[in-house]
Amino acid sequence: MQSDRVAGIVCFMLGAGYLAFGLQLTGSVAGLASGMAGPSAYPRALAVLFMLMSLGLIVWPSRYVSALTSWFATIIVLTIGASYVVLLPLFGFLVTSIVAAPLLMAFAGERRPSWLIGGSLSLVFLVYFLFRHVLVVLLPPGSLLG
Amino acid sequence: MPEILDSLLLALTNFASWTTLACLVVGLVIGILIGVIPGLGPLAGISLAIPFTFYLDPVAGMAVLIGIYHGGSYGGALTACLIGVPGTPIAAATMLDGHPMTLAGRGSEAATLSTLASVVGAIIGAVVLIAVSQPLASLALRIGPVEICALSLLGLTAIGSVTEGSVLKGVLAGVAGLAIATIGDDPLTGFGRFDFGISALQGGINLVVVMMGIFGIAEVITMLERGVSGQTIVDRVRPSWAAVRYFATKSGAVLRASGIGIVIGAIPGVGAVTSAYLAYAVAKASSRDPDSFGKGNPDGVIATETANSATVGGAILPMLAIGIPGEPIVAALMAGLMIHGLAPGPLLFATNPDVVSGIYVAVLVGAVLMLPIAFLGLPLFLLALKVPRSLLAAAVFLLCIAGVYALVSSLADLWVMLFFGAVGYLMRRFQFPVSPLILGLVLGPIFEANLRRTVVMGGDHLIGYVAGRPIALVVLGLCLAAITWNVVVALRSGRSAPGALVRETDSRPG
Repeated sequence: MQSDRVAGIVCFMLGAGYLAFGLQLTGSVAGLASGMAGPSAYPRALAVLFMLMSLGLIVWPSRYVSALTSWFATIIVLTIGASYVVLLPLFGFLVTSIVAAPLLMAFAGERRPSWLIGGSLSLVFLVYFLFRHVLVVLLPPGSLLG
Repeated sequence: MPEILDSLLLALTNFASWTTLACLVVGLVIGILIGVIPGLGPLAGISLAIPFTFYLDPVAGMAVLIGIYHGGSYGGALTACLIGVPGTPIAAATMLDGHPMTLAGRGSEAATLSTLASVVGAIIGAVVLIAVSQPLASLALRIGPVEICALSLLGLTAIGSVTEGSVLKGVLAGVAGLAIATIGDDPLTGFGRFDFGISALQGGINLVVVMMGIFGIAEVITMLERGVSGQTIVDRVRPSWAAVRYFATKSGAVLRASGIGIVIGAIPGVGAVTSAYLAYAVAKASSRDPDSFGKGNPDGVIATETANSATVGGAILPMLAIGIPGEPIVAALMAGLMIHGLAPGPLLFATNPDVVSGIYVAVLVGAVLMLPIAFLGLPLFLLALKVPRSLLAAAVFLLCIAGVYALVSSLADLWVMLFFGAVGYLMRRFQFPVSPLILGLVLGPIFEANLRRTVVMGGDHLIGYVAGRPIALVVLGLCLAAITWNVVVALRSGRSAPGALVRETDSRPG
C-alpha cells in the first residue's frame, strides 16, 4: 500500500510536469488549428486526467503491492546497456557485443566457461551474420577499429 | 462476381508456377523468422525485401511481401507465448495468456493454438477480402475523422479489459501511453511538442523502440534478477493434438475474433494491435470465467491471434479498394506495388485485374501454407528458445540493440530503448500493467489527430456535426456500452478503483 502511494505521488509529479510543459505550448497555425483544436489543448487534458488518476491512487492505494526488492539487476543491465551504447560507435558491434554478452551471462548466474565463452561468441557471430549478411543491415563497424 | 472467379482462376494458374509459389514460401519463412526475433517485425521485413522484389514480376513480388506479412504477424506470437517477449507489437496481446500457459508447462498448447488461430484467422480474412472488397470499399469511403476518432476511442475502452489488478493503474498506464504519443511533431500543425530540442524526440518516439525497451530490456532485467542459469525456457515444444481438439470446439470464438480483426483491419489507421486487444476484451467479457484471463486461458490466445491474423486481409482491403493504406505495413505493401508502376486503388481493378486477383490468391494461399510451414518448421523456429536463460538474456539484449539500430539507425534511439527498459521494469515491480501503455501509444496519434480534425470540422456546431454521422454514433454507443460493461465487471469482481485488489503473483506485464 505504501509503494502504491509512492507511485501515485511520482505519477502526480510527472503529470504536473507534463501539464507545465503543455501550458507553454502556444504554437498554432492561424485559422487551421487553434484553441480546442490547437496543439496544447489535448496534452493539457491528458495531464489533468493523469493527475486526477494519480490522486486516486494516492487516496485509494491497492491493498497488496509487492515492494521493489532489489535494484541490483536493474543497475547492472542499465550500466551494461549505457556502456554498450557509448562504446558501440567506437568499437563497433562485434567487439562491444563480445564483451557485453558474457558479462550479462555471468550476472545472470552462468558459471560454465564453455557457455560463457563459446555460447556468447557463437551468439554474437550469429546475430552479426543474421543482420549483416541475411538482412543486409549495416551494423556500426566502430570508428577506432576502422 | 463471375469476373472475380475468372480472375481468381487465372491467378491460381499463375500460382501453379514454381517461381511464384517459391516466392510465397520464402516470404513466409523469412516472415516467421523475423517475427520470432524481437525488434524486427513484418514492417521492417517488408521494407528490407522491397528492393529484391523489384526484380520479380508484380504478383511474385507481392507474394514475397504478403508472405512476410503473414509470417511476421504469426512469428511474433511464438516468442510472446514461449519467452514472454513479443517478437512484434502485434503479438503483445497474445502474451497476456500465451506466456502464463508456457510458465504452467503448456508451451506446446500455446504454440499450437497460436498457430491454428493465426492460420484460420488469416484464411477467414482472405476469404472476406476476396468476397466483399468492393461493397466494403463503398462503405470505407464514407469514413471520416469522426468515425476514426470514435473507433480509436472504442479501442481505448479495451484498457479496462486488458488490465489485471487495479483498473486505476491500468487507466494511468493508458493515459501515460497517450501522453508519450504526444512527444514530437504535432500531427496537424507540425509544431514541435515535448521534444526539448532533442533531435531523437522531434519525429516522435518510435513504437518499436518503446516495445523493445518495455518488453525486451525489462525482460533481461527480470532474467538477471531471477538469477537462474543453465535452464531452458521450454522443455519441448511440438504440435499438440489436445490443443487441436480444443481449437476445433471454438468455432464461434474464432469467427467472432476474425470479424473483429477484419473490420478493425479495414479501418485506416487502427490496425492489428488494436484488433487483438479488442478481441481479447470481447473474449474476456463474454467468458464464463473472465478471471482466468491473463493467467493462461487458451481462449485469450485464440482470440488475439485469430484477430490479428484476420487483420491482414482486412488491412489490404482499403489499400486495394481506395488506395489508402490502413496501417504502415500496408503502406510498405503499397510501395511494393508502386515500384512496378502500379497505383493501388479502384482503377487497379480495371487496369490490372490479374495483379488484384494475384494479391487475393497470395493472401489466401499464404494463409493456407502457413500451417505446414509453421508446424514442420516449429523446431527450427524455436531452436533459439531452447537455450539457457543466461544466454537468452544476452540474446534478447543483443537482438534488441541490433533490431532497434537496424530499424532506425540511430544511437539516440538506443538510449530511448534503455530508458523504457527501466520504465517497463519499474512498472512490473509496482504492478502497473504495461499493455494499456502500448495501447495508448498506438492509438494516441490516431485519436488525437482525428479528434482535433473533428473539432475543426464541427466548428461551433460540433455536437450537431457528430450527431449527423450515424456510423460514428453507433461506434460511440458501443464505447459507452463497453465502458459500462467494464465498470459493472470491475464492481462485481471487487477490483474497482477504491481499495482495488492486486494479485500478488508474478510481475508479467499485462
